[in-house]
Amino acid sequence: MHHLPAVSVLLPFLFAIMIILFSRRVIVIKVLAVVGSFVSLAVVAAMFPALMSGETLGTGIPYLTFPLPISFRADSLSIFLALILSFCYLLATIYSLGYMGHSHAPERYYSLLVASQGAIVGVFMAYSLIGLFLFFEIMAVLSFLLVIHEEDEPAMFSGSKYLFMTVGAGLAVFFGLVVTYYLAGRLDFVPGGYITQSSPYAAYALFAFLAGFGLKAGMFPFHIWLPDAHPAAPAPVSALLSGCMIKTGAYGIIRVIHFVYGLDVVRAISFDRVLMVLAVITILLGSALAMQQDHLKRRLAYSSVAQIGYVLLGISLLTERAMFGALFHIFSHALMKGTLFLCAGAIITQTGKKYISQLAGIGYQMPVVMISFTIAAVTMVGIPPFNAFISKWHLAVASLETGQSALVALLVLSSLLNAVYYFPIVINAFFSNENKSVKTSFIRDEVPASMIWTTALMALLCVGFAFIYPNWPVIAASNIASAIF
Amino acid sequence: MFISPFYAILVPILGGGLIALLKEEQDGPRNALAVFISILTFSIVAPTLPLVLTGEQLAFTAVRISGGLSIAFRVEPLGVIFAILASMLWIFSVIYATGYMSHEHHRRRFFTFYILALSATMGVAFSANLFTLYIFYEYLALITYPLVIHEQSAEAYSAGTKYIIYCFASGALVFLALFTLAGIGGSLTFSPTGVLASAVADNRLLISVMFFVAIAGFGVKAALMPLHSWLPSAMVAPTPVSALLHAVAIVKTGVFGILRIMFYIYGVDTLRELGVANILAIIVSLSIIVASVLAIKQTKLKSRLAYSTIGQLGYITLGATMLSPYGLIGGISHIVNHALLKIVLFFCAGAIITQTGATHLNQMAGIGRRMPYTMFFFSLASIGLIGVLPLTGYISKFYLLSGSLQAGKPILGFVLLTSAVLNSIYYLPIIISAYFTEGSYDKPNGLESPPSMFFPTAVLTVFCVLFGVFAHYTTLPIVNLVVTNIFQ
Repeated sequence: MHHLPAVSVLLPFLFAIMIILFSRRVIVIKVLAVVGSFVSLAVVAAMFPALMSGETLGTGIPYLTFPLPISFRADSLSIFLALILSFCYLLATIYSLGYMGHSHAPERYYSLLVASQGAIVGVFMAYSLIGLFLFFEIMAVLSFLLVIHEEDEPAMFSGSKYLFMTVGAGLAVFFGLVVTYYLAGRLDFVPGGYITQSSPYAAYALFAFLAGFGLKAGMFPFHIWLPDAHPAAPAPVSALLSGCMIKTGAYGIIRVIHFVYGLDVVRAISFDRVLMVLAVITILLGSALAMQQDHLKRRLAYSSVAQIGYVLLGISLLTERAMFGALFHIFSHALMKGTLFLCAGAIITQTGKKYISQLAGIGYQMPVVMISFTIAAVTMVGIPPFNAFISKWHLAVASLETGQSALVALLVLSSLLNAVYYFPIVINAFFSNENKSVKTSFIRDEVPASMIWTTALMALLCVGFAFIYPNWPVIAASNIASAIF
Repeated sequence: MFISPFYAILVPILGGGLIALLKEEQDGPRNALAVFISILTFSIVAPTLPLVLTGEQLAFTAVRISGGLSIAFRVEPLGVIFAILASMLWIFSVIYATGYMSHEHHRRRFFTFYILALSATMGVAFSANLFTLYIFYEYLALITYPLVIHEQSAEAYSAGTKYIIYCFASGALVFLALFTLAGIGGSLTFSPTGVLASAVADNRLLISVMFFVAIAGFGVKAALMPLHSWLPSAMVAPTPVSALLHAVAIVKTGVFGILRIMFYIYGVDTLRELGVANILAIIVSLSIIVASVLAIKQTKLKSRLAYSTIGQLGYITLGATMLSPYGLIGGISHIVNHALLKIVLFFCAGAIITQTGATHLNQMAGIGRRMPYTMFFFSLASIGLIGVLPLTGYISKFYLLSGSLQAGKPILGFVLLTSAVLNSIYYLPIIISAYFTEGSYDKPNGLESPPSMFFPTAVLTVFCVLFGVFAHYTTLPIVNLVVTNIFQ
């Protein structure tokens, strides 16, 4: 049991190596990729009892020796996030079988995909800042290579932009952890934090972490790589970047302000205020820019910027309820944004259309995909009983509890904006009047089954989790939040 | 005693002599002999590591000259770090050189001087006093001259002339400092706490001035800006020599000399009292930033690596000027880390030059198809220099940053971070264009470069990872020992 965290991280890397070794036949590569992704998910899922009981798993055996040992350990927060994101990885890997069916360099693509699953699980399982940073960097390099997989002009440009910004983010985090190490002489995680003295150095470190993790999360003003990189990547990778990878930035911030620095320090240097202001700007700016995009994937990418703003807002309020909202939003956003990007990929595969204005009547050509899209879009807006409603509700209540009633208005406004930029796509897809020539009878989606089923499953889960009882993500998220405070 | 450092200096001299006796076309015996001698030297040096870790030191006086001057050697931690590093990398460089030089002219001359340079480097490492250090320092400059002009083209001759002028100017400055300080302080035997403490009160100004004279002297070899210009010109030399100049021997003797002057002649307390280190820190910071910016402008691969070296060497000196334990740990461990990473980069550059003839960066577009593994090693080493985990470069950067905080000068930390950003700006595009642009290169038939070049590069790349992951078992114990002695 206590070896599971290490196994869950190392297995995907092992499979990635196997993919490279046995890259002769494409079918073998694909089987290995799916199996690797599934096995890793299964190992994470095996930790589920610990998630519910709040136990911390891990052997404490150090793997690296510098400057403090890195050992793999998993508490509820790690398992919760690893479980959700591994699940998204599995779906995206299966989806890739169809989407990347005839793409070049399959061994590269699948080995990177599986390895990046290991890296992202590693971010959560490495129970110290230095371990988090190590996997953070590995993930950055792997995701760069995935972004530029198409190797065309826009992919190379946005990939380079991403790479340089992510190097900057890495250095900021590095600076932060050096300062932390200097202040405390340790880099592990302890609930409640261990640096309780406010000092200028602590402020440097926290704001360096904010810049580094914030960049990864797509927080204003470091969001500028995201709307380029996410659309340029292949659709399953976009789904993973938006659904999973940007969450690691939010995770890093949670770890830093609750497990390394004490809340007193955070409040004393008004870290929470700064984060809140940036989160508000991120939400508004992301929504505003999303409305202006005609390129579907770009609109989705800007929407991710706005949505990560909710998560950061929830973190910045520093209350149990807000943390619950943030964690639950990480979960629900992973599913809904994953669905939306998978739909966008399916549309591109079947029709080659990338612009929203071209999508009139597409609901009749691709009913399953567009219904999935609709479900995810409705969820995104936060209409009850869909997932995002729960997170937004708790965020709103938490704002009231902390006396920030203006934030409730912000949440309502932003939901409205979500509706403004998602519903026209849906309406246009099913009820377009402009183009009379489009068919108005349903025909079957003509994309590979692996794409249809994964997309539909993800969309179903967006709704499903609100109805399934007992709703474990809610329980887990609230346990974690109450453990933190 | 068998492991006396004296033998490590003597063996390459004898070996160089033997190589000189072989005929030009006797490549097999010569290569074998060269590799054997470097391995033998390493095996003489290696046992000193456990020895000094137990706290023991060996001393040996070879020649006593009148007036307190003597040629004396001593096995102590800092010297051991340098000696082991150099003799280890020499083995790889020699193996690499046997492949690289196989189609070159004057191989006998090349290998003779290549092995002799090892002797000089060992002499520098094991010197017990400044006088001995000075002698071997000059000896190294002379021995490497034929290596720099190896091509015998007009460009090579002019680079060689520049090199020799800089080296002797450097030597002259060191000599000036040597005799002035000897006059003031008496003994110039290295001591971890410095030897000038008692003399400072009477000769404050002179001692301060002599600090800069000595630093300028060693700074030439350490390519401290603005004394760096010999280094990019010396790039006309064959790549094994460039690797040697840049990663191991010559530039590092400069840095080594700076460390000896700062901590073993002046001592931490004296430096704090004089306040000279702050001025040096400013100069070094500028050197780091300017060199990194100039590196971006270079269009030749080797020139870019040369300017990168100038910047990276600055890290070491910068760590020293912080006068804080962490900073010095960072600086000294960067001697090792930079050596490993940079030698890999040069080996890759050499493999590219011999296999494809590409010397300029724009000729390297798409070269990842022709030399995938070489470019992979190149990528790993260059992200290591940027400071990405888990390659070895991050260790020095971690301690340097901590040191800047410990010294209360976070601004120096920002210099390092800026330099890391600049590093990524000049390294990453090379990698991206190598792998992801269309070029006129085809897939290799068989191994992409001769085994004697490929495998040293591969093994050293593995070292770059191992030294990063297992720093506590490799570099850090002995570096900690050096620093504890200095800051006792």
